[in-house]
Amino acid sequence: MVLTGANIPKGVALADLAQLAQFASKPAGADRPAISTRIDAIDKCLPHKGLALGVIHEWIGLCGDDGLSSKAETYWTPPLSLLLQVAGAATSLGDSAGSIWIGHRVWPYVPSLFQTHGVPGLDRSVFVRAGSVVDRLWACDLALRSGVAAVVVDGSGFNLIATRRLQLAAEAGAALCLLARPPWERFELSAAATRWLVSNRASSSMMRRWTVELLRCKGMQPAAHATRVWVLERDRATRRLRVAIDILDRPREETAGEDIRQVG
Amino acid sequence: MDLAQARTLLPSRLSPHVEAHRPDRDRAALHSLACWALRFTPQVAADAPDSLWLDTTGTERLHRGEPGLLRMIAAAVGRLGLRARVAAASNFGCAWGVAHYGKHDLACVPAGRERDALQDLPLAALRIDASLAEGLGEIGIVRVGDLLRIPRASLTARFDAVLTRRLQQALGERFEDIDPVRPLLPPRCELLFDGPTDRWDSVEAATRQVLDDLACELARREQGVRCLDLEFLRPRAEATRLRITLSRPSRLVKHLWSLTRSRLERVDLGGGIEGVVLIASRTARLRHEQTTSRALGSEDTRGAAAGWGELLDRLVDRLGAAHVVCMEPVESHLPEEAFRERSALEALSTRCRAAVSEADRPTILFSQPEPAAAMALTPDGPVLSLDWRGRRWRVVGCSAPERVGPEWWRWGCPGDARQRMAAPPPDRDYFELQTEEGRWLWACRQPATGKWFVHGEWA
Repeated sequence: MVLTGANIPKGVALADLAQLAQFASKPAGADRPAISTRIDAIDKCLPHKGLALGVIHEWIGLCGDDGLSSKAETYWTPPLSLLLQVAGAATSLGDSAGSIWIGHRVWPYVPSLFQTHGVPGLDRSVFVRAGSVVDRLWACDLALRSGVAAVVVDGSGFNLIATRRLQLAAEAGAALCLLARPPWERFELSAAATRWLVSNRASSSMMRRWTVELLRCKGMQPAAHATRVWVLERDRATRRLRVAIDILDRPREETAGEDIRQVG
Repeated sequence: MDLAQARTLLPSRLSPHVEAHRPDRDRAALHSLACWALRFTPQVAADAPDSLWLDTTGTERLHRGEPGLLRMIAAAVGRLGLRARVAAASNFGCAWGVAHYGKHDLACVPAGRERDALQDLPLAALRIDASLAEGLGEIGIVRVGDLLRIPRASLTARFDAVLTRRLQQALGERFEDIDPVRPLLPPRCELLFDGPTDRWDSVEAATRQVLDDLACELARREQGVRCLDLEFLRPRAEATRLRITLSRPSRLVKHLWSLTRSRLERVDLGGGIEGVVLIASRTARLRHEQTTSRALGSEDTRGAAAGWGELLDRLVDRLGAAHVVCMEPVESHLPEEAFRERSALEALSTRCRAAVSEADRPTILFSQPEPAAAMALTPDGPVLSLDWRGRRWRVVGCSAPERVGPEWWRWGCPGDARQRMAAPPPDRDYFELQTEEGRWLWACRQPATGKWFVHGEWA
């Protein structure tokens, strides 16, 4: 970007110009601090070895599949187990930073939040009841800019412009922004850096399992063999998600692919 | 008992917690207690080390007589976690003696009966020195009654004048006044116009100026505002009052202004405004900050905490206090009562700690248990399918039930005579069910009725 005397708008303060220049000179794939998902297999695949701060991460939630209505767009649930784990990782880093849960749909049940985040996590969590898209967008924008550790927001109905606005806010505040979206908004355009699809997975053992698929990730090196689908399960003892260790449940091709990769 | 003696009494592995006696802090606490007691009467004085004097003349009528007032004071002090002995009399000296040395915690001495009330009390009840009381004890005067039998003239000739004065004060023969506490008034700044105006920009500029003044005053007192009252004075009409509550103490003009301005926009200026008054009606201590630089490697933790408070204030300002909440665990087995919403504006430190169930709990709890119908081969056997939300779910996994009963401390035991009138909620058995699709539901059955509900889900 070239700024000469002619094309500088009048009334622009020097500080604003400096900020603009800094913003323009930053390369797109600059190193960002990142939050570990606490799942090594996923962290290894991501370009920043974790979920980068200052960008949006979209999580496509689980469909209700109920028979109440012929339309599919009735009931959905955000992937709260994953969101709890990632937000917990973000809040445990700073001393005073907290997490904000915007939209009643993404409020986790308090005992499960308590079990994953502990007492300080519960103390530093604030829950915002905002119904309309406008209110949710405003609250999320404000929260991202004011230096909280993690913002979890119900992103149903956010369009491309809304996510661009959130992207700018996230960049200003360097917070972890987790946006939960319903399954039918899977193909909606957005400015998010990563997009994850979470779905239920049946297991023969008494484990809660989910399939997590990385639909898109900005800045990721394309590789033919890179795994983009993981089966996660919830460890009952530690209340954390991990890659499912029971290989009986996996399709045969997947395990074979992994063996080849280890050799190569 | 001194510290060495206390140490010998303790078991060897315990180390005592030692705190130095700080008389200045005792006095400060007594002063704040005296300010608190201003709710009973406008005239309160602190009498170090451990007494408060309340001039209740006329105020007992508000509490249906003196006994009612005394009971209320004792109860209110008890709620603060303190134990108080309260006495009322027609003069301070008598009340002091009866409160300190009387037989009862609550005592009321009718006017004219001071002599009888003091008769059996030790001499210390007259507020005299220990050495003087000891000297009198050597010649056989140990009770106030002994002193009253001696002619007053010989008392004055033989003993200190203090003794006569204290005796006269206790009997109501000599007037005694107290030095009432004066609580520090909350910081208040105002700006009055020459005449009423209905121009929004003038009101805005005036409010901004008053806010600057208030921030200076707060900085001088080293305080931050928790509750800010705005008053817009009107000619021949009631002033418009607005209240802004903050989650953390603050004296930052930028932040206070952003909260004030949004309220200001909604003020009706019709009829004109004569002046603007700002009162910091609730303040808290906010220390001056050392300016630091991040370039020098200092961590900006205070700035982050202040940013958090400002965020909460702005969220509350737009969405309302009921829509920005914190959660607090509650001692209850019932899943829907295991937590409580609390406004985010309340202080964090006052939160109680309740034990949270260690059992695995779902990530989502439905606001209402949703009715369902389950099918099993045997009445208590594993569930095979579940009719819920308009379709049939085939169940492939089912955990052992977890029985959740009503709390015995709230509803009483079944055979308890003190059982409450309302019936306790019925027992529930919670099951973790896995559907064919891999969805985990938290379903419950009421053993009494056999009804099934789905109450939550792991997502």
